[in-house]
Amino acid sequence: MEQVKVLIIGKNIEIVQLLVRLTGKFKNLLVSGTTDETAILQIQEENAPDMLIISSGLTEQSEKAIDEQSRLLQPNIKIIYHYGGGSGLLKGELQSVLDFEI
Amino acid sequence: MANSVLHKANSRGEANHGWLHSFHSFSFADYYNKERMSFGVLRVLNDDTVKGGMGFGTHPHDNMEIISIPLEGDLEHKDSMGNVTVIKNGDVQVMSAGTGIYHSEYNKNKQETVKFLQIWVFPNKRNVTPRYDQITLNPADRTNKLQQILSPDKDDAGVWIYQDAWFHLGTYDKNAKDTYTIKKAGNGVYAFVLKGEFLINNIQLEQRDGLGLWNLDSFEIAAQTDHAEILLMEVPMK
Repeated sequence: MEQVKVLIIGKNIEIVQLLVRLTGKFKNLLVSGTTDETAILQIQEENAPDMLIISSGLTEQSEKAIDEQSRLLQPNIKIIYHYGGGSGLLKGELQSVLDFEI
Repeated sequence: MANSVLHKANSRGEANHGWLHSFHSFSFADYYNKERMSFGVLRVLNDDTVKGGMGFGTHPHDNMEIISIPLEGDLEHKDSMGNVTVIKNGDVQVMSAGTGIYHSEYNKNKQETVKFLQIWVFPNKRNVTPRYDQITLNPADRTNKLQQILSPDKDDAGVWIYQDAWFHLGTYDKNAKDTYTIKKAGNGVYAFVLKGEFLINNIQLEQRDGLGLWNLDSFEIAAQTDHAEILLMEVPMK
């Protein structure tokens, strides 16, 4: 099975690092993270992620802009607005958009 | 027409980590059941037992309204905002995790277990400034009646959260009855039996059973046993 490329964006570096580590534990997910919203378009153009996880700390306008630009770049991208900041909801959030069991 | 969903206590997810024994009413951590993802914006209802001296080390949360209700024992709380407190039976703790908060929760007693409910509600606004609060309730104020313990209004009774939600506790004598009226049209109520047995809308509920009700304006609760305790959680359904 091809790996699903996951990009995590958020302003809280410790939470982004934690989410990268936790998400990376699930099979078939290749995960990277960034706290730099100005670089996200470049990262997306270079890496073409299949899934974007929006973590905490971005303004409402930033979240909206990232969401819209990501869908323009890659219409099939799956976007998850993460809640909770850790492992509690993460598996459910991922599983709800994936068509295979993690 | 009123709708309902019954979650029997023994149908909940279970995770036993040794130091922590937890029952999940909804999908949480490794427990995943696509039929049990939430009740409206009520996303987590964990029924936790922590062994003496053990607990949750420092860990982060964001964008979630987290309510803890101790049922037995003392829980020591420390967080990144400088709060160091102990919560015990009769208290309610609330955290708006917002942009990010770090905390630890430990059983303060080495010899006794601590039991508490951990409840997560989706906020109605992302990335708020984190906040913490706790209150001590008077148990006499919920004998044979409902005591409000949470609302969206900081000037109303109980703690408040970033959501149009209202929580109530009640302790009833056998055969006592009460009526709950929905505060906001369209909201549903998740009833969780803490102790004893209740009858709600002709559905028999035993200890730790959960019943979700929606598309209704009010409903009657009837205690079937003495000292029966119930938690009612009114939440938006989307």
